[in-house]
Amino acid sequence: MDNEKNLKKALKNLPAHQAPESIWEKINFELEQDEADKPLQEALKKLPVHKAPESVWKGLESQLPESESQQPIIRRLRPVLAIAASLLLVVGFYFGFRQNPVEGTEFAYSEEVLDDRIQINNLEADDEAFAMIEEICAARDYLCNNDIFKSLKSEFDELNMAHEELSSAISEFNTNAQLISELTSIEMERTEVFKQMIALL
Amino acid sequence: MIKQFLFIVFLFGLASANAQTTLQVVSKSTNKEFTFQKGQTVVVEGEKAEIKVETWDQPQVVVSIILFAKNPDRSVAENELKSFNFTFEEESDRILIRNYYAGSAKAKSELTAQYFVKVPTDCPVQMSNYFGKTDVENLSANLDVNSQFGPINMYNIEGDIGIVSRFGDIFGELLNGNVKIESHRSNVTLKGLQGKYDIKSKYGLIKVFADNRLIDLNIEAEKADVYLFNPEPTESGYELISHFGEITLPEELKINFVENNDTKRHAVYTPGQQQIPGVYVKITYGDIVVRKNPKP
Amino acid sequence: MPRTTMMTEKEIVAGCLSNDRYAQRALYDKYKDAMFTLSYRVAGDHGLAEEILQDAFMKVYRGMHSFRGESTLGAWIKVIVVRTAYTKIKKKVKYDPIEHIKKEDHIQWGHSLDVEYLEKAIMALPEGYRTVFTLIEVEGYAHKDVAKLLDISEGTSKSQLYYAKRKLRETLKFYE
Repeated sequence: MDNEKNLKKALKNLPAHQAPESIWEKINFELEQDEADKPLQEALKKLPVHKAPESVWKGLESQLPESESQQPIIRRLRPVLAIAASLLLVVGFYFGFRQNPVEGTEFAYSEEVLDDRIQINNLEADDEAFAMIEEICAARDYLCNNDIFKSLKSEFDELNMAHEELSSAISEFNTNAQLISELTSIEMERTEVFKQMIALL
Repeated sequence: MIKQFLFIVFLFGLASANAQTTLQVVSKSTNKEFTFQKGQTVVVEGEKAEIKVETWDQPQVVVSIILFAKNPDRSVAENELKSFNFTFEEESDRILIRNYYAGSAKAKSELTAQYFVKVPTDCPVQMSNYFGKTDVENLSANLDVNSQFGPINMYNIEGDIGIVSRFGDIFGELLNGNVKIESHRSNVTLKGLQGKYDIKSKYGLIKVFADNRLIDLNIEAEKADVYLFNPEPTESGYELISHFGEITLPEELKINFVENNDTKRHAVYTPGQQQIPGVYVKITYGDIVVRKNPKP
Repeated sequence: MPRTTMMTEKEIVAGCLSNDRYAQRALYDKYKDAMFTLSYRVAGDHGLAEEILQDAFMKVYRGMHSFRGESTLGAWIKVIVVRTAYTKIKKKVKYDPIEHIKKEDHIQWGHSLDVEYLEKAIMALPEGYRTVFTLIEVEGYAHKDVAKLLDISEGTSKSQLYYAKRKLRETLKFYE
């Protein structure tokens, strides 16, 4: 009993230690840095998202085991299924196409005439002339190693990237005139920047 | 006889040279209805899509989607349409609608999507669209649009509006709220300004048409020209800064140039008691033009 | 499971468990861009980021049975992506020792930052700095989580972040 009393007494009399001032300094430093970081945090929220290239899915598909619909038992039945499918196709054509894999989904058929004026094949990109820039810079890099040229080159590269991005999104049977008009304006801007670069060489 | 034969061959040749390509259009469509809960945002993620969002006075979100595959060969279009899909997801905080192509190779057909979405007036909307047109009108809630290679049209929106566009023009009329626009190689046209506007632009033409006075407009631009059309140019306050560009003003606007040389032009004007100019334009490699235009 | 494209997260998980290609693709589509961006920021290279994304999603599909729903599916995938990315660049990473840390001044960023330059400056950071900076400042991880993920001490995580910010500031000054 006495022991317990003594312990309690001793505990009460334990000395108090002062927190070193350096701890507050560290906390204060972090708090002030948080405040100073606000413009960074704002900008970080706006960082761009990069699109995953389609080739990644292709790579994944080639590694993944065949899915349910491609299992061997089905594969063994393929000739039978092929005949059944052909029959279904014939019946389908006869009664009109009424396939309905998603609940509430309706299918429809129509025809439209392709507008030749808005096809990508009709646009000629001057890629060979553009490649010339790379060749000149590789051979005589001192010509390209200045701020004005570098700024034009980065603009040119950006336009090239956008041109490629948009071209690959436009199909062989394009029906969207606005995409062709956007591509044309990128092409014009690219040519303009190209001319300015050539003038510097 | 030979001549006649050659003429017929020539006619055939002419006919085939002018032959039009007929596309077989296969489409699938669906309609879906959701009961809108407070706290939800309608999120539309389109690709090669034409998206139209309208409002109505019902508490439901109604979505109609049509996906098209177009190819001269119907079987190719049919086949590729199977890999061209839409999804709907409903969670407590959002209703997600999107379309995607899941084919293993690049599609041979022209694949496009059309969305028609009706939302309650107070339903926040968030959209992203690549290679397609985005239209929104009559919304009284927050709106976010992120678009690449497609135009954005907005009409009569009241709420916080955030627009990011790359290679797609922006047109807005009667936008009221905190409007933030970031445009890259996109032209921006705004009419009937009512709220607070912050515009950041790189490469493009910015045209702002005021109905009355320009009150709260901030534009920071690079390699872009800015046109301000104002029916009462002298009633707005301006701070205009152009590096390596010109500032052109209407005759009645007697503005004070703080700096005026080839590399920098800096003009400030405050009408009457106003202390802080409502219009702030800072531009590098571009011109600023203020014009008086008749009241609409 | 119904052959439908209207899939909830639960259906996606169930579908992936039964090796359903629609579900696998739906999961991939949902997270591909965010995870590709993360991979790119950690790896600093587009080609490597593609490789990481592919490897990570294979791990996701193969390890779906170990997803217990303790975190969100997105957070679970993110951890796999970070680990996969970090394994690829680990050899190149050199951490500056903690004892050298000397926080003299606050890092001041000026009024506003140009996002385009900021992205360039982040990508120009050395591997170790960039990984820690991306995980903490961009992805929102805490130092203790980063320490666990990268198998480093919390002190190292903190010092790398400080160095990263200092370096970033220096690079951004160049663009001003």
